[in-house]
Order: sequence, then structure tokens, then C-alpha cells
Amino acid sequence: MNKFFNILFLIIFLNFWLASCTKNTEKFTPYTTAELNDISWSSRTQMPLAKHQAIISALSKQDFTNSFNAAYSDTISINSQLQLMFPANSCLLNGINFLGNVNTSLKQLTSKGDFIRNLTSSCNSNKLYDSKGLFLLSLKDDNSKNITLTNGSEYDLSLVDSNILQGYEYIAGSTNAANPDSIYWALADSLDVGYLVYSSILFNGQFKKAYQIKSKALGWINIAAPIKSMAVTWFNVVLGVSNFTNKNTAVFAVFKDFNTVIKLKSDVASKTFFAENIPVGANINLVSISYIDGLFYLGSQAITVANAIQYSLKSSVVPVSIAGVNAFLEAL
Amino acid sequence: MTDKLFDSFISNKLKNYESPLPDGLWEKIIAEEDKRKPAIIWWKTKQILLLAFAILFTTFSVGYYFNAHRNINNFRALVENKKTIIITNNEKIVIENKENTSNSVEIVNNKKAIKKEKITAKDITEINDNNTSIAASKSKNNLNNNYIISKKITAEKSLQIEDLTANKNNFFIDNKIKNITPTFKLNKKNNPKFRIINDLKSSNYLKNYTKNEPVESKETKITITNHKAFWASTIPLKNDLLHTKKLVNNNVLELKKLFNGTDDCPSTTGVIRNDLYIEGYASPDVAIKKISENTSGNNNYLSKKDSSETMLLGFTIGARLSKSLSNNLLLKAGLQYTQFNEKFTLRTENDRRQTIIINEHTIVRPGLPDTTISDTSFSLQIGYRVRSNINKYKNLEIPLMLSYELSKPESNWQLAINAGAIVNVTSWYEGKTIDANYNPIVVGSKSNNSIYKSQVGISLYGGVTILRKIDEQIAVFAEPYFRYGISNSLQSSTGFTQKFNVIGLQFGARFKINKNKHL
Repeated sequence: MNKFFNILFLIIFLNFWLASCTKNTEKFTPYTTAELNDISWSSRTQMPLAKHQAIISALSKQDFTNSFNAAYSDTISINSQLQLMFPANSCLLNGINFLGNVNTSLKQLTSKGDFIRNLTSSCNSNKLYDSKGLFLLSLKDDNSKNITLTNGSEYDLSLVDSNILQGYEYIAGSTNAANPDSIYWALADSLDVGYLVYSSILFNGQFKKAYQIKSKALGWINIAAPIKSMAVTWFNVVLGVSNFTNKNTAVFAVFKDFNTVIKLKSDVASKTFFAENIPVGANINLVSISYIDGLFYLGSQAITVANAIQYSLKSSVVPVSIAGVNAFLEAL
Repeated sequence: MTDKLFDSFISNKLKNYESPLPDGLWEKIIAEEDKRKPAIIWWKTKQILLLAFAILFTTFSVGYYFNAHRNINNFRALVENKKTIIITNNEKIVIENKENTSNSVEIVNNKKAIKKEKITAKDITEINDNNTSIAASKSKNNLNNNYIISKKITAEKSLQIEDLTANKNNFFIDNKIKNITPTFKLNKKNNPKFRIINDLKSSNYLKNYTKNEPVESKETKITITNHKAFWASTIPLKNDLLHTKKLVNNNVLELKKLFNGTDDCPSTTGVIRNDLYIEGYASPDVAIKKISENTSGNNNYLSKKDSSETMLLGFTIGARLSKSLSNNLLLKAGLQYTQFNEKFTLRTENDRRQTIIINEHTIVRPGLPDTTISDTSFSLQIGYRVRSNINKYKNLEIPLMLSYELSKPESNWQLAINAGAIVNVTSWYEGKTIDANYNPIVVGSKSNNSIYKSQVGISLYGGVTILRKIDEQIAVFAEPYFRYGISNSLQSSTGFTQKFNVIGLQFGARFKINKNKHL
């Protein structure tokens, strides 16, 4: 009988061994070409231009457009706040006097959210300004060719405001070929570039007070008042998600008390973002916006700037829709 | 004195008193027995009842047929195998010709001068040559003769009385004793009934007793005069044949030595196989799944499901009893557990994995010492995830089959053909599948959904057994088989039914339970 059971147990054991060599498995394989899987930092401190343009295209509001006849002096309303005036014979096309139809396109950035949508600082960090708005004017003919101003011609850009404050200046912004996505702000030369006056203009049949920029240059215009200087410091920001790098992320210091946004620079060596000349004690919202594989990711943290400290910004790993991003930016 | 008179009075009055039974007592007992009859839940389905009855009726009909004719086959086997019956001291061979024709059997004495004796119709012949062997040869005309060849043990002078317990059932009366009145004392504990059989069919030999009349268990007296032979047993005889099922103590024939090539003792009436085995087995199985669509327009879902599922090696383990119905035919029934394994593989695109990593950031500022920050951050990865899960279909089944052995039972190597049915009594399952939206979903007895519903199923079974004897009782076997699913074993709420066909190779061992079990 023992022999019978020994034989039987051997048969059963072999059978179980043969039929039981299987187990549940789960294997994850990352895509080799997915942008999200790239956590390396670019040696270039700025975001790649293509990524920069993609974010702006996805988030920016539409430019305000209008037109005028270059042969005549014309005043055109842009929106409920803005008015442009061009003198006659002030346009050049390929260096030649242009007298035809001129199409105007005006980008207007007035809120902190608008600044972030355009991935731009409202001022340089070494001199902080409280901005009424940033404006970028471009002129094109009907064939979309760029039109420039004749030498010495001056156009007016008037910003209507019911609460006109003193101390605002014309801050001109310039870019260069090396960093076309970075704006350098500086007080406009009153003789060569332009100046700001406080004016009362006829706007939609009524006289209204306005900040009026008289400019001889096309390009970025910033109506801003300098912020009182105070002790400043610097700080670094570490993002809480390794996937958010300087190739796909921009970090901003959004001042609560001023209409001022500073875009942080990236430090490739430490894989952090940093800001300089930030007033000590300033109440700031650190905001990160990342754009990866067509999806937006946001991060936000309120801080009071202390002296030379590092901050850790915990960004969300949950994608946010464009409507969600806009709603977030409007609330800043 | 007065006390004794009173006692006597009471005794006389109550000596034969029987207290009456309450009214309706027997009816209550009958009703109580009816209540206790258990409900057999498993067989309430009409179809299952009908099928089970059909299988059982067929198998037992076949068994009865073979059983009824075993005496003929036994005699034929005896004759064809040229078996010999050796007569030792105090033994006689009795051959009874139950046919109506004469000249049917020749008895040949091998050792002495050839002695042929012809058994005429309805004749009972005694052969009483000590230390000789007698071979029975077949008749010239007809093999299918109904003969009974048995051994009769005769005692000498004394009456043999045996303790008639349940296992010991025979004793013999010395047939040479004449004009005596023997007394049989039976074992009152077991209270058996005692039967006296007069095989000579003559009532003149046994006074007051006729053939097959039972006698109650008590002291019994009979008168025996001039009889030739009779047997007594406590077991009712089958088919009125005169069998000595078990020989008494001190008179057991060493029949095992008498017949060449057999391992067990045949009875005195011939070699009739009556083996009972218990078999244990296990087999690796290859299951082939068959899916039938119930809902039209379900092709995409079934196609996706089919591409996600692959059958793996399963197994069966079970035990069964095997009973010989004749020398070559066996009936097998038992219980087995079957498990079909299936690999479920699903690839999910754009799956995300989040891990926690610790980064170190070294901040270098001009004119200031370097600062190192350790930060715990998340790292996201996007890719595809392949989930492999083993689904298990578990079944409890009852196999019912007939096995026909192509070789002799005593052979060391045997080949047999098996055919029958396997009834799936109950099933349960665990694993994963995809739902109508192609998302993985857990199915099983512990999950909350009811995607799968098991059904009682039936499969047809066919196999070939190759058996090798290890010793007298143990044999090992291998049995390739195929089973064909007739009915669906599973129904899905997503619009399909499913059944399995199986190819397997059984390995097992067989153990002979009974010994000396020949009729």
C-alpha cells in the first residue's frame, strides 16, 4: 500500500510542477521617443524656441487688429481702452514711402496672467516696475509684408484709464536674435524712441484721461512705474517633478502687491530656477507652467521672500486643460 | 409462604403478557423514514437525472449481461485454457450438466489411464480420484454449455459445525453419515438464517426439508438419510447455482497452486473475474476553448478578447473505483478536479508610472559657499503596460466510463480502451478579462460583477490505457485521452458561451482492493 501511495504522490507532484510554472506579471515599458520620459536639462538656459512659441500659441489671446490708410493721418480705436494715431505719410515699405492700406496688429498684455501667457517678464529683475500693460504693435500691408515708420515719424498709443496715477514712464522692450524670446526692458530714450504724457483724448466721442505714449519705434511698449527700491535678495526654486526641466517649463515670481511678473532663469548645473534682486519680504506666488506632449502642468506656491533661501515648488503631475490654465492665470 | 403465593400469582398472570403497541406507531415510523430521505440537490435538474439514469442503466445492463453469462465463459475459459482440477484427500469433483443434451463433456484423467466419463443431461457426476488431475475438455458440439464444476468437501465421520459469523458462511455435513440426526447450533449473535440446499433435487434424502427452505437461527435438527451431497450456507445463492463462496477453516483448498498463471484463487465453479481497484491519477491537460457568440454584432469584442487570451497547460487530478464486470470489462466511476489555465495578456497604451526619486542640487553662487539641496521629487514615465494574468477555470467532475481490456487480466502488460462521459458538477473561476469597453476587469467568485455564470456541463471521454503491473496488487498506467465538450460550461453576460475540448495524458497507479475474489 505504501508503494502505491509513493507512486501516486510522485505522479501528482510532477503533474503540479508541470502545470503550475506560471504567475501573474505586469511589465511597464517607457516609450523611447516620448517627451515626458526625457528628464535631461538643456545647456541653453532659455526654453527651446519651438516650445516657447507653442505655449504662446496655445495660451495667448488674439491680437487686436485694425487698419488705416497711410496717405492720411488717422486715429483708430483698438478696443475699449486703446487708441492709435498715425500721421500721414509715415509708413515705409522696403524703404520706400508707402501710401496704401496698412493693417495694424496690437498685442496687449495687461494682467499678470497675460504676462505669463506670453512667457515674458513685465520688467527686468534689476529694476522692478509696476506695469499698466505691455503692448506690441506691428504694421503690415495687405500682402503681410512688414511696414516700418519713416524716420522721425511719431505715432500715439493712448491707454484710457479712469484712475490715472503719476510716475508712469515709457519703458521700451527690445529683443535680439540670440534670445528672441527674451525681452530686455529699459527706459525709452525720449529723443530717439519716445516718451509718455498724461493726456485727455477724444475717445469714442468723449474726452477721457489717458496715458499717452508718443513713440518713434515699433516694438514692445511698457507703461510702468518704478517700484521703490528696497533690500533685495536672490533665491533658487527646485521643482518637485523631475520631468519639468528648462526644456519644457517656465517659472515665474508673481508679485501680489504689484502688477509685476518676473520670469526666473534656469541654472543648468544645479537643475534649478533662480531669481535675483527680489525685494526681501515681498509677497510672491511662485508659478510654474510646463508643456509636455501637448499637455499643460501647473504648480503654485505662495512665499514671503527671505534672504538667500531655496524653495521647493511642488508642481502637479495631473495635466490641466487650456481652459483650466486660463482660469488659473486669470485668478492670479 | 404468602409472599411466594403472591409472586406465583403475579407470575402466572403476567408471564405471557405483551403490552399493546400505541395506535399508529408503525405509520409514524414509516413517515419518519420518509422525512429523513435526503434531498440530493445536485441532481434536481431533469436533464442531469435522465442522463445519469441512462449512463447507469447502460453500464449495469452490460454488467448484468456479462455477469449472467460468466459461468459459461468461466467454463469455456476453464476448458480452453486446459485448466486442471486436482483432487486431494477428501475432495470430490461434482459436475452438473444443466443442459438437456448428453455427451457434452468429457472428463479426462491425465495421470492414470485415460478415463473418460460422459456427463449426460441433467446428470450430476462425482469424480473422486485422490491425487489425480482431471481436465475438462470441450464438447464436440457446443461450447455454450451450462455446467457447474465445483468441489465438494466431505468430512469423515464427525459432523462439522462452524461458527457462522458474517464472514464465515459455510459448513458441511458428512455425507456418509446415515440415519443420524445432526444438530446445528448457530451463532445467535448474528442471527443468520440457515439454508439447506439439496442439490440432488430429491426430497427423499432430507426428511422434513426441501430445497432452499430457510431455517431460523436456533437449534435445528434434521435427519439425513442416504444422501449423496448437499451444501449449507448462510448466504443466499445466486441464480440457484451451487457455489461455495468461501471455504471453511481447515479445508481451504490451495487453489492458488492449482492453476497456472493466475494470481488469485478461482472458485470451484470456474475462473470468473471479480476485481475491485482504486485508481489515483493525474494528468497534464491541453484545453481547447470554443466560444459561441450569442449576441450579434459582438465580433470586435470577441476578436479583442480572443487576442488577449491564450490557453496554457492545465491539469486533472482524481480518484476512481474500478470494478470488473467480466474478465475484460470494467466499470469505472470516481471524482476528479480539473483546472484549465489561461493566460490573459492586455497591452495598455499611454500608461503612466510615477516613481519617487531623491535628487541632489548643488547651488554655486559667486562669493558664496556651495549649497547642496536634497530633494524628494516625483518622476513620471509614459509608456505601455503589459499585464499578464493567469485565469483559472476550476471544475469538480464525475467521470463515468467503461474500460475494455484487450489482454488477459493476468498479463504484466495490458492495453485497454476506455469510453464514457464526464459530468461537470460545479465550476468556479478566477482571473481577468476585458469588459465591453475593452478595459480589464476582475472576474471570479470573489468579485462583485457577474460577467461569467457557470453551467453544469457534460463531456464525452475516450482514451487508451497502457498498464504495467508492479506486483500482485499495484500497477501503474498511462492513458492518453481526449474529451469533447458537449454542453457549454460557462455563459457570459457580454454575449457568448464557452466550452472546452481537452487532450491529456493521464499517469496513475492502480491498487487492487480485494483478494481471492472470484466467483
